[in-house]
Amino acid sequence: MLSVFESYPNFDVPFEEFRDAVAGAAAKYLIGLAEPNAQPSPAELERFIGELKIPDLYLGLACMRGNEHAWWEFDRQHRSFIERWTRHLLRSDADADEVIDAVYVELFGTRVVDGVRQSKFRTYTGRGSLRGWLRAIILHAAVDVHRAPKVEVSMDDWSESGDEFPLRHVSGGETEDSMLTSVVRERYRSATVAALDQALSTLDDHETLLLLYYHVEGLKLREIARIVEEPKSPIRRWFQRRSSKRSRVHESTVMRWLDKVYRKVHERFHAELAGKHGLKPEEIEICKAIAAEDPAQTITLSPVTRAD
Amino acid sequence: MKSGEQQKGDPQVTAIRRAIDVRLKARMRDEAIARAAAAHPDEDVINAYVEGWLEESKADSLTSHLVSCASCLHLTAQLIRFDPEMDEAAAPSADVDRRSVTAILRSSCGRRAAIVRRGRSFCLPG
Repeated sequence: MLSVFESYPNFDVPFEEFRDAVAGAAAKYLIGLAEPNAQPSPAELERFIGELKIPDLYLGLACMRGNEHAWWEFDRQHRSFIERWTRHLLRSDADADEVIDAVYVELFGTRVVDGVRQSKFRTYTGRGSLRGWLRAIILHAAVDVHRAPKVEVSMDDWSESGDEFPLRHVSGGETEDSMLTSVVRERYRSATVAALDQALSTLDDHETLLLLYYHVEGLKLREIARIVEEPKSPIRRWFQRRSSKRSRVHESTVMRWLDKVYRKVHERFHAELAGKHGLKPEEIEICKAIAAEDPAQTITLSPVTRAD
Repeated sequence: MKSGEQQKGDPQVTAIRRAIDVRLKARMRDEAIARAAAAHPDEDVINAYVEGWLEESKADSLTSHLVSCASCLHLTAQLIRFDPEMDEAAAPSADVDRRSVTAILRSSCGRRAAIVRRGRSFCLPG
């Protein structure tokens, strides 16, 4: 660990400051794991310190202190990446330049509290790579630059499009039949949403995360497979707890995995509609059609007369 | 929904897949509004999660946060989507004279930007 002091003698980080940073990382990630305020064992602490990205942490600390040699080294190692990644994220060069400047300002820190400049580097603990941390910083900066206009636009869009199972508003000119259809539709819609939410709520968080990555974030099967393949990935740990095999994870594995989750949701959705809501098979079919409805389309409903 | 990725199969599964797609997207939009001002894990924790460095109980706790927080979910997805080749393409540069640290900091922080060092401040040269 101390070799970084020898490698970069001109970074000028006092040993006590470095030691405090390591202690801070341990406090953030190790204390209270088993139970609240539980202290880590010496072995856990040793493993933890062994896993820290020491050169990255040392460089971050030196930059935080404003050491110019460290800033040159940081720039040599990471500026090309920062520019490439930012331009990859943002289409416009002007936006990318704005984000790059914002990232440097944040890393340097312009706010001073109690005589100490608040550099973003103070939040880096060395638990993950400095490069990965920078990716997250850049992503946040890119969002921040465009946050205000995006929120306004998207909220308007959502309320106007009525994307989620849009309700048909009954106007005074509607006929009795169409009003009946609206009432019936609303009844099925409520049951559908409740049953689907109930079915989804019974999933393990990792199963839900898998669905969210695939459906909401649009991650490709190979991208999900890649993270599952990572030896220390949290999703891989969960996957291995549920799988007797230790074989490689391919796209087809993720597809089968998703398929299992779909079937589980389908069974619970069906059971919920039949049991809790007392719907007949033909009514359940209507609910399925409503659930899968494209918001841009409408389906024709005819009331189902109850047998009882 | 990615029609090209998932092969056509059981129509029941296809229907529920579509239903899940519609419902989850709607739910996460609601979550995005509800959690806009909520507390989120910092970039250090998010990156440690994606790189697989979190202890299991901390990782499980973050997974629970992700399934109900649209912005953190999106951040982790972006990090997962990151192409590792970009890391290789952006190798350390030996030549940083074209846009030096000093120039970047000066343009970012203004000409009076100061670096606190050894308990005193000094202005960037130039």
